[in-house]
Amino acid sequence: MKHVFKTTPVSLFDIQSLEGWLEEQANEGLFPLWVNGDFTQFRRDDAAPGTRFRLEAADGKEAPEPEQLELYKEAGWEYGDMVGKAYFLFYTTDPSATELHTDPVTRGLSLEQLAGEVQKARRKQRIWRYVILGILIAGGAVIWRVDSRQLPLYFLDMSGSLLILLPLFLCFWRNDEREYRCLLDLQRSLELGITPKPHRPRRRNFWFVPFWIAIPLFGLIIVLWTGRLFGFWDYPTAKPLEDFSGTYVNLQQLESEPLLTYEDLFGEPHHKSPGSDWGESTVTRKFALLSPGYYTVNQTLLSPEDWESKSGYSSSGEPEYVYSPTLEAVYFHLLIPAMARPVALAQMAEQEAVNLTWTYEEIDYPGLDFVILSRSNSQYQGVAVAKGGRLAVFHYGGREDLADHLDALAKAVNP
Amino acid sequence: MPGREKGPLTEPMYYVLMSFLRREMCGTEVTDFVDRKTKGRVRLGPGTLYTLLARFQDEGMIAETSVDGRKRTYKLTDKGRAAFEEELARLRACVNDGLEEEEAP
Repeated sequence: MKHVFKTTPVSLFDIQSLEGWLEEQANEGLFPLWVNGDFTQFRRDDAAPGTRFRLEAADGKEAPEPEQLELYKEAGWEYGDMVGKAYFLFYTTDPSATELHTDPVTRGLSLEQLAGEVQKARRKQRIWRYVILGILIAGGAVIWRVDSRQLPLYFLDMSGSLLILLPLFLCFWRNDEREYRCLLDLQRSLELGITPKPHRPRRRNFWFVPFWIAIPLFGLIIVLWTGRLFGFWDYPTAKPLEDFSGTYVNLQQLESEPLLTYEDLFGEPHHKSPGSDWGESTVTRKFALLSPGYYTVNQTLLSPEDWESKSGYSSSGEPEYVYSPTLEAVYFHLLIPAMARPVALAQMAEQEAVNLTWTYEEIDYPGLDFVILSRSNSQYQGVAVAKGGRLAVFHYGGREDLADHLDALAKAVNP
Repeated sequence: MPGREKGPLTEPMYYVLMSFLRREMCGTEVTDFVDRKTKGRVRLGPGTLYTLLARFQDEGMIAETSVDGRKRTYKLTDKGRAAFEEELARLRACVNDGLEEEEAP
């Protein structure tokens, strides 16, 4: 026996539409085996035009009373199954069978308990939905009002989640309210003795988000965001830069004298200190909801000739000081280009070294959306360049003035 | 309950109460009675009948007297009789008013 699954395109609270839809399916030879708010399973039969389906409120019972079955059977109606937990489904193929309900007021009474339960559920739902809405709005307001430089990137990521969650949440709310109202209006008008107008089956709107799509989506956002917060999605190790084929600015391009890597200069790899990238040139891919697959490139070069500067590094202590500029750059491709500026400011603030005074200056550069230059009272500087959703934030420690190298830096976002 | 708090009884409600005036009945007998009494004018759907039996019982207007398999038999209570008579009086008044107006010169 062939079974067919279909999504239920009408709300369970829209009784007339659901009955109408089941009758349409029966005309095409599909007999419902079970129905719930999301899916309906049918048995493929011969087409049975004229089959009538009627939903009777279950009022908390799990099966119809024997008396109800008997009365309905004698009138030509068979029991099908429960629909959700709200209804019993009856059907008849006999065109002469009397309608289940011949008195609208009594029909209204038969739906009274169900309408009361729906009303109660709606009230409860409204309370927690207002609470959630309040939290979402407050979260949005915090993100909006707080100085971008105070927000780490993962917190900015939340705003991306909010952009998905809030419309989803409002869609749910709107759909539920429409569906509840459908049943409550029907029940009220019946109880007042008003026979409902002939009903054209109402399909769910295209923006209806079924529960079975929304819940995994919501779960995915939570998982992605949690993973993002704890860095689960980052590539586990920093990779050598020479194996990397993506766009980045080579530190040597910024320097006016030829420099060497640590290994080239000292003939051995640098013994990495925990928590420090100094001495290595590596790339690390990371994950953010706003910019999946962004990456950080850390570069350190050393000068074999400069013994004057006292700001360099010695592999064996005094007096082998050398000039050793560093460039830490983060390259984003943001899904929401409008977020480029707050992300840039947050990233620049994250890279600021403590105990230094920083000043920010925005300068015009043709072809770019913005260029922000940050300077400290030491050799450290920062630059953020953005074009569309592409953003690169540089943190440089060295002798050069980054303002003189904007052409090279701009190529990172405008190749 | 309709007929008391929410206005007059509807026709099916009125006839269902009427069916218990002379004797106890089960649901099928009520349907037959209404059909016979109204000569098919008032159709009593099984959903309507089942809802009314349950509601009248909840409201104490009818009481269950016996259960035989799937059949349940009910009798009219004093409260149910009072509700029926009240509705009957209302309908008489309606008819009298109509007749008076119709016969007036």
